[in-house]
Amino acid sequence: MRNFFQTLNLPRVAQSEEISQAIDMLSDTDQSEEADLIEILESDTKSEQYRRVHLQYDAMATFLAQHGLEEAQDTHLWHKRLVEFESES
Amino acid sequence: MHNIFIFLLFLVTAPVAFAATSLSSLPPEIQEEISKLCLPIQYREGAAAYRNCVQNEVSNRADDPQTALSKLSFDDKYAIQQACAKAGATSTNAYGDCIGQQVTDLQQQPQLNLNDVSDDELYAAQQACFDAQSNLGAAAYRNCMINQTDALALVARVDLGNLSALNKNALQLRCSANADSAASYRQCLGTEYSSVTNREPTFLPLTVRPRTSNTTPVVIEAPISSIDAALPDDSTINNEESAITLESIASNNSTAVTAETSADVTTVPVLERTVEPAIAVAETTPAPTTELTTTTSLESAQLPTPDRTLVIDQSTETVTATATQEAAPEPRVISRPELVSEFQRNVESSTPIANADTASSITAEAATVEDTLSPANDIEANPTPATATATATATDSIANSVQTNSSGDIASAEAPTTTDTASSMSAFMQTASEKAQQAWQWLLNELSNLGSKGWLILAGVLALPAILLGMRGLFRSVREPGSEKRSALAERIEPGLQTRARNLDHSAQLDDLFNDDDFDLSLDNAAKRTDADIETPVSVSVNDTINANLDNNAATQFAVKPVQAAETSIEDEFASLDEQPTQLLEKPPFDNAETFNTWLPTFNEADQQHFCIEYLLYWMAYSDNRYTPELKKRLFTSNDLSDTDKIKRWVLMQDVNAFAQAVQHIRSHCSAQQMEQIIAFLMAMLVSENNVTPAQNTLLRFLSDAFSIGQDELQQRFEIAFGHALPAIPRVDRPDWWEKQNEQFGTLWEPQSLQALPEKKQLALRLGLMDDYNENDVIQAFRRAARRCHPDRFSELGEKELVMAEFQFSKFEESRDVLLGVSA
Repeated sequence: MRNFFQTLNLPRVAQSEEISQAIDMLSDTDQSEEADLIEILESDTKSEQYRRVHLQYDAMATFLAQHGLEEAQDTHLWHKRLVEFESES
Repeated sequence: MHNIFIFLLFLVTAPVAFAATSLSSLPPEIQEEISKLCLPIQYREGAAAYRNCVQNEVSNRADDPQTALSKLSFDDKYAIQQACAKAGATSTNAYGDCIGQQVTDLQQQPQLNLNDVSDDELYAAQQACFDAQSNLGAAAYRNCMINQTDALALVARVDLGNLSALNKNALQLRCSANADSAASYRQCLGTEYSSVTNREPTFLPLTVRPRTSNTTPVVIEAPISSIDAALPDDSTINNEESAITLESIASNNSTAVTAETSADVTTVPVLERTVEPAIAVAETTPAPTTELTTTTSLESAQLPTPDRTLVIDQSTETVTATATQEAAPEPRVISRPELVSEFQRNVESSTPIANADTASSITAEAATVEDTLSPANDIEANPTPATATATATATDSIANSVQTNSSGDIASAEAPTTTDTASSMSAFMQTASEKAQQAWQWLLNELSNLGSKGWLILAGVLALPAILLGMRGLFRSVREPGSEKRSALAERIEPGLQTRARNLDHSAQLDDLFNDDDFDLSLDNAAKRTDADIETPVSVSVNDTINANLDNNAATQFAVKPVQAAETSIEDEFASLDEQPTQLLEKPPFDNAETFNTWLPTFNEADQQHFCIEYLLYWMAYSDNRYTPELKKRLFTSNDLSDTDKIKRWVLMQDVNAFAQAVQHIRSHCSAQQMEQIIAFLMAMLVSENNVTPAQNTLLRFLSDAFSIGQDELQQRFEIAFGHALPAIPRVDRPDWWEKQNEQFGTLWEPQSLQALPEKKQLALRLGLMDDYNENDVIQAFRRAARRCHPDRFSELGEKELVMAEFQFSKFEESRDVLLGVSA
């Protein structure tokens, strides 16, 4: 999953005003990603769900960083899905 | 009289049961196919023709790779799939070939014998073989598992029967955390027993299990040390396994064997305790004889094989190894280790009739064996040609006597064989038919001799089931007040339901047998047990659960009270805590020096496990924004919180490190079954039918992988629990994913927004019912919901989890009653 908050250099708990300001200042960002980011984060419903799933990814990245999945199954290729969250862990 | 009824029952059910047994060994789809093929024959030609048809079809399909694959265990299938994952897409020939090869390789491996292997030990073995399962293919995995179980069989089992559940759990958890194999796990149980219980462990008799499942275990009664003493102190014979085998045979009190073979005796090496370890048997001349003097615990046994025989002579207390060959083309040197291992192989192959590759035929006649009992128990190697007989007696653990000859014909066999299945089935059916006729004749004789008193007793016994059924109905009709409602509802749900079989296992296969009367009964029992046993304020915990709005749809509990003006500013502050985690607060309004990771180890293991489960529960609840502002306020303004409230506060602080700790603790301390039940518990408590949220979906998938359950198993369990598939992993970062979602989900995924809905709508959503639903939909949805909460699903979890599940069930009951208009 893409980490839009990392792209905006904002914490997950950022307010909508902060998000709008950060979006205005976006540069050197892939156009399609920018469009997706705007559509998701500027919608109340979508941004709320995005935040909640974002929290799960944050927690999962922390778990992987600390313990890994060596002795477990990895049917979803979590390391790839969590690649944009590793820095936060 | 009793025998009469048993024979009657046998006569009626045996043919059907026999066909059913043959069929039941096949996968359901193949069973159905065979039934379709053979049923017309049954109607046209009768039961015997039907049975033959089934037998033929079963034997025809026995060697089919796909059939073999479908009959494999999940673990074996998984190993095969892993091995063939790189062969190509599943629809390609390469993949199919790989599967076929894997199945063939696997079929060449011995069957896994899991007798006397506990679930925990099996889990430890699976863990130890996980690498083989993931990387080396099914055969390697099977081999690894066999090695694990073989090694396990050499470790004495501790008797855990007298342990309390708490101590047993503590012991198992301690050992499961440290063991790297099944044997080391069992060994750990023995070594740690004293430290957990302050008592000395009691060991059960060792059982040496042969490698194949169709052989009989050899029970060892004597301590291993006695056979150790019997062997020379030779490092080259560091073979404890062989020693145990020797001991096992000795302690089995097996008796005389006389063997006559057509082969010339070319070498007769006999070990003696005082001789050198290696014995050279040169040329083709009869070899010198040496002796291995054993301890007195060695009694006697004889192990016939086609070319070599090993004997323990009770009278002389010697072990004699007799090797015979039809021809001795070249000199053969047999070292002591070889001889000992040969001895062990012979033990394995000598157990009844398991290895048919000896091409020997078998006659098992207990009476004959009894007659051959001899105090001398000697072996005679007689070079008489053409005939070969070997008669042996055996104890209960080694089955009956074995008589072999070189003709390869099967005279008769009462013991199980792995020789030609069709022949043995035919022989068995013939014997069964004769015995049935004899039984029928005997029955007629018995009945004709029955006096008036006998007929009276017979009539009474026949009427007994009807009397019992009547009494049962009577008791049901005078149950406690309020039962009428449930009975009426049950009758309304499904007429005649109460007369159907009852089974507390509400698995998918038993859906039709689900009965909520029984379900309530076990729920009541669980509640009573909880009230009596739990000293912690469980009721408070449950209430807190309610306050925390853990209801699936947060329906009735989400009625937010009007906020008083004086508290508005505080309310606002804590209402926004989601947006401002306490890590970011400069001065948290409570002491935050304590973290979940430092707090957890202060409890005993059982509590730690419970708190970790609680953490995941509240984490999942929080992820759906089920915390009300009131609760948030309380959690952040008090320094005197209960343990559960502390957990909620850490969750509210979005403590991802605590999440990682909780998951890892469960992974390292809980059994596979417990982890499966934790997933089931989270689903039962928080996930709503037709309304799994993206966060729930993501978390369930991750936990399933972390708990080694995997996607397929999760999908299967989810579908059984909710009646629909788990949606694909959510991509909330992609607009195209959102386009596929129903707009209504935006509201449904927001529990606190549901409070504005009419009560009946809320109750319907609790059961996963949307707009158009009828009575039957309510009943079906309730049944699924009830099954999700069934206590049996959480049998390996704690009492607190049971209480929560019970509470959740009561809410489903409420929804059902209101929607069906029963409670009015």
